[in-house]
Amino acid sequence: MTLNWMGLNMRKFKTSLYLEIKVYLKGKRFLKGYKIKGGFNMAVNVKTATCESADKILESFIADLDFDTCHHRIGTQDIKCGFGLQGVCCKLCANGPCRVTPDSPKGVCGATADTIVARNFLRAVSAGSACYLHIVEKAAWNLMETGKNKGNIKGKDSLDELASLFGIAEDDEYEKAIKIGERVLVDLYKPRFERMELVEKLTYKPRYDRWQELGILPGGAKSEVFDSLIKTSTNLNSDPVDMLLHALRLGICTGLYGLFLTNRLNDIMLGEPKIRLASVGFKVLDTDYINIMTTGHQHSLFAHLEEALTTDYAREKAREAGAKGFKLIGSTCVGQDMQLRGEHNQEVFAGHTGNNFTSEALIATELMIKMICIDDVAKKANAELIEYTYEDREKISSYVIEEAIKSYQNRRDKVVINIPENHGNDNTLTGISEDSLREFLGGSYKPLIDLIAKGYIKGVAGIVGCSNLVSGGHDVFTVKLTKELIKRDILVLSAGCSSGGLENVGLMSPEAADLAGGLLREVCKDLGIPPVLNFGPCLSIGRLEQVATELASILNVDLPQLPLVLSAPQWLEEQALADGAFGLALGLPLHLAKPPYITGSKLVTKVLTEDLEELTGGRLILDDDVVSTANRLEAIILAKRVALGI
Amino acid sequence: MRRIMIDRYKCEACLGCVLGCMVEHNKKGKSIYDLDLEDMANESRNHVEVDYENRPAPIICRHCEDPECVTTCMSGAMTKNEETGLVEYDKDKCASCFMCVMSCPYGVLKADRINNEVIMKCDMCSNREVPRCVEFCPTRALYMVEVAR
Amino acid sequence: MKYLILGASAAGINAAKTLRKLDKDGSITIISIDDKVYSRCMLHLYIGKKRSIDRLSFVEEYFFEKNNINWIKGRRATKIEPEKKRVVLDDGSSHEYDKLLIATGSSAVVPPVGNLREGKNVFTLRNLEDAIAIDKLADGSERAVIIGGGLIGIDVAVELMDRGLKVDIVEMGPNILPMQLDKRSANVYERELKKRGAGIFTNVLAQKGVLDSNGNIVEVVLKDGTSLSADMVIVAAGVRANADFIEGTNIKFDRGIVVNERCETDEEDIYAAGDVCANKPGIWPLAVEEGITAAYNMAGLERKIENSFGFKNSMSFYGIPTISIGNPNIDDEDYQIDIYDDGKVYKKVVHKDGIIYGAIFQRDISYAGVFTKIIAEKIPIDTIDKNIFKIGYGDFFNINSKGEFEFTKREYGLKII
Ligand SMILES: Cc1cc2nc3c(=O)[nH]c(=O)nc-3n(C[C@H](O)[C@H](O)[C@H](O)COP(=O)(O)OP(=O)(O)OC[C@H]3O[C@@H](n4cnc5c(N)ncnc54)[C@H](O)[C@@H]3O)c2cc1C
Ligand code: SF4
Ligand code: SF4
Repeated sequence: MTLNWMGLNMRKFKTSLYLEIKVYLKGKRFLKGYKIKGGFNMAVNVKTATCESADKILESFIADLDFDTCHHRIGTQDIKCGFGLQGVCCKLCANGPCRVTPDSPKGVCGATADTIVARNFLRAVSAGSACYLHIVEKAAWNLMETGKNKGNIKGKDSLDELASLFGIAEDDEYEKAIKIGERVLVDLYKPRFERMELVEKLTYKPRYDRWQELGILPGGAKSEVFDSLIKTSTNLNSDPVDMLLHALRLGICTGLYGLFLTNRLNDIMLGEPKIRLASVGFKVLDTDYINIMTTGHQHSLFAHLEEALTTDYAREKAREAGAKGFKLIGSTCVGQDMQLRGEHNQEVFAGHTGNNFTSEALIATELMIKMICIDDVAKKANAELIEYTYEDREKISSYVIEEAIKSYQNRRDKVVINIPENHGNDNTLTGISEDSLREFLGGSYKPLIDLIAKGYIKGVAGIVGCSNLVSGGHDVFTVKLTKELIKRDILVLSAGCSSGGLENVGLMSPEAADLAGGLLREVCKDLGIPPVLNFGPCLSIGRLEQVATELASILNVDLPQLPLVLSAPQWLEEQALADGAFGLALGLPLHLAKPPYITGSKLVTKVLTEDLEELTGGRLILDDDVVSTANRLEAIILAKRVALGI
Repeated sequence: MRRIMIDRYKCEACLGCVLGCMVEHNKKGKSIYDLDLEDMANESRNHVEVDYENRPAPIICRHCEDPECVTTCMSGAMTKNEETGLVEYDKDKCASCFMCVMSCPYGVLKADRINNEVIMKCDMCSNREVPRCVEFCPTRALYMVEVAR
Repeated sequence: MKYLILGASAAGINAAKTLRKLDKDGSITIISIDDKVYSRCMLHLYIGKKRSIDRLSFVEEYFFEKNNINWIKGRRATKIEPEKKRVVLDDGSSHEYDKLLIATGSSAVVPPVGNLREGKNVFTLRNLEDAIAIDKLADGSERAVIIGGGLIGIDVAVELMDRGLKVDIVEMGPNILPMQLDKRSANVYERELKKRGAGIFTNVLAQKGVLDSNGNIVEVVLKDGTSLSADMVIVAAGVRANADFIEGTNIKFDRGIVVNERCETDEEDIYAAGDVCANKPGIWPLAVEEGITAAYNMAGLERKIENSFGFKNSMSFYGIPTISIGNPNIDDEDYQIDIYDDGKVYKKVVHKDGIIYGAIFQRDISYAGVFTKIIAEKIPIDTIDKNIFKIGYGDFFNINSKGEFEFTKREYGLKII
């Protein structure tokens, strides 16, 4: 049965043993988990307790769990506030919450729908931006500490590359590392009235010029976030356009620093991605090992742990406890990062299980899993906090090892190990980055351009972002849209939790070539690659930007002219909105299946979906239908091809 | 007949029911995203009041057994459908005399705000199994009941 | 069972419909002078050419057939013979009954003021025939004088002006619609009328009409000497119950047939409902309510008039709606008057010791029905600590197990559990 809620096909429900029954006569609407066997003549609404997933093994695995996950809870949150959806609820002051209706078109203070929506949107973008800036800030500090302590530098090429880009004339690699870290931090900590210095070095020239014309070159990134909070506070900025331009500025901070530089700094510390095949899904779990799942976005905080777990000491400890050793289990972004750099952690990294809505089933509270947080920004209520510092890294790693052993011994005989069989695969192509792909192509992106020019590849789509449970279910829109695009000979590059979903359903394995259109299939088979290339975590949106820049510079055009589109079909978090702002600043068309709470303002919606094209070249495309989205994205690609004369 | 039951103590005054009603009666489309919240033409047939202790109460037509609005209607626009139990309104017959607005003891009715011509009358979303206000209510303060006539 | 109903309007038709609902097999006959079923409340819309005759009907198509009701139209009852349990008609025929309902309404009266009764171009508006006649004459007329600035008078005035006539309204009260409105709210309509060229003469009586040689009134002279020329005159100055035929029965009459709360007259098996009844304003909702109540009792089911409150009126001229309830014009220091006035929306509530006696809602009439209930049943509001204009059903909220709203009488305005 399809529940058509608010006119959107939000979720599909299927009949199963777990039913919620609506009994009209009782006045009691839902009896949860009630079992019935057919034969109803009462008005009953039958649905499973969990939502649909693109990944069917996962879907039935979760449906059978006897504890709650997001997949269960979405059903209890299926009624959404319409004001929230449209972004027209304001609770910035005690006179609120004010909501825009035809009866009350303005808030008490006079704020219109346009102002309220713009404020809410800018706040969300700045929160997302703040998250990424936190990540690059930490990475930069870690890099400096690594340099000062003459620690492990695995990515020497990246080090040299950045040093020369930044104009750092040092010979000593540790000094280079320190200076690079410093230069990043100096920019982040600048006041807003001082432009960040690296922006120009990191940006493709035509883009930089455009941003300058538009007046959206950012000042100190943290100050940009700070000031956006001021702007959006009670009775301060009420100009929607000014706030949207500010969001673009935050997008630039996010993209260049939070995404691109985080990758490069981590590449220096943890090694550069190398293309390889890897195992993904729940099958990477080996119950003979003590498994530690990492999550978050900060790969550098785990650098020491990755090594400590492979020492003889750790191995010995594990054996004493009755296990074969330790394994790191990938989940969400940091899992994708470990997978991307799999070449450098082969022994300890078991593989990537999936994104947040996938891996949750393995680490739910009910499963007695010890949780340790190493950064208080992510302090969980039921977790222990051991704040990470570079100098304490050894102590922290030892503590984690000890606690993991304790937890292993404590829980193994108390919990039923329940892992679905055959979940995932062993041949997901990973390790793709702007550099490894260039290398794969023979040292230049020219061959890719040729394939595009000849029409073997119609265009490129970046499928990015997260997964959510509202656009058809977990990864549902992402997977369907990806299939629809490759069918049309559009090469898909994925970065973000979307990759987690796409790899688990096999779209990143070479065999997926069969699902592509004839021309793209031929290319994939020739090269032995899948039609969906795995760039890893959302941070790698920064790598996609690099690929785009390389393509554009070969063609000698600006980014908006490329036959390149972006879609974050199942965006989830504020961070995704900050990424999105970057995409829009880059001048790329960006599709979202669920509107980012802006439709209550005609002005904001119009600026983002139409007028922006005149400014940056980018624009938002809101569409909750897979085929129509694919049609629109394909049409854009075709139009750009025509404009390029190919 | 079916009635929309109201548990006022669950009502949080979120106006979900009001939105739901506007969405359903919006001529431009039936999705929340089709609803222009600044367009005066969008009006709901229900409303939420707060009482003297600031407690909210959703006010939604009862489709009364003895509907005052029908008794009072001099044009035949407001009628009780004996089969379904619904109190139906035919805007083409209506003479805009507003006697029904004056007579509904529960203050359910009002005239449309733009032209003062048409009565904003609940139609239980005629052909929907679950009326939109019920569907939009996040606290389940609204739910359907089958009642004896 | 043989039911006989005199009158095919609000009271009679609703009684018949209810009888059919309650008694599937009884024979039901309606006798009326009217040969069409129409809502008198919409007659002015016919004059304004806003509705055709067909669209004046307030019943569904094939109402009589669907409900198996025998309708004898175009006939007048002239006599009731209770002892023979029959009614005699103007064609001499007679019709027997087991239960009889008198729902013959009322007729407009023309006061015996100089020549008004004689003038050939003088009309009242009560029946379709009146509306048709007014419509016809309006075609060749330029000026109309309306005597009586009550609801019907203004209804007609608006429509005639719409047709391009110059209209003068004569009202003896201090403003038009004096029964329903106060100066502030009446002024709104007076302004609209004047803007469109109407002459409004208040605090003054019409004294005489000047007849021309054809027997038409060409001039209406007011008590203060003002003289208004006229091509037609409409008199809207009161009604009289249609009950000549009860002569010789025991039915009590006091400016209307006297009935009890079951709509029974003093004669056994004879009931009355609607405008023909005594001691209440003649409004549509009461006629319907009484028709339904009478029907229940005629069918042997006990039912009492629940709501006999008749001092309520709604109106809408030039797109400005107003609802008036009770007496909004009480002039007594003991009463408190609360007013909301933002220059457009006007609301007024007159109350004393927690009981509301009158109210006016103009331009914003949303949800005003609650006040009708509160005023009609004298529900106390003194314990409701909020802006009086924000009082709503939410303050009396109580829902029963059948999902019906109720006003919990015992606890009116107190804690509602
Ligand atoms: C122009 C106009 C506007 C009005 N506007 C409103 C309004 O907005 N709101 C409101 O509440 N009220 C309004 N009214 C008043 C309302 O129309 C009456 O209250 C209502 O019609 C009373 O219904 P009734 O059935 O009692 O009598 P009536 O409607 O008067 O019907 C009487 C019936 O009895 C028949 N009859 C009469 N004598 C005999 C006889 N001797 N033998 C057989 N049959 C007979 C007639 O043919 C008719 O069918 C308006 C009236 C008019 C004229
Ligand atoms: S509008 Fe009022 S009187 Fe009419 S059915 Fe609804 S609740 Fe009852
Ligand atoms: S406004 Fe319309 S529906 Fe209401 S009583 Fe008048 S004619 Fe009937």
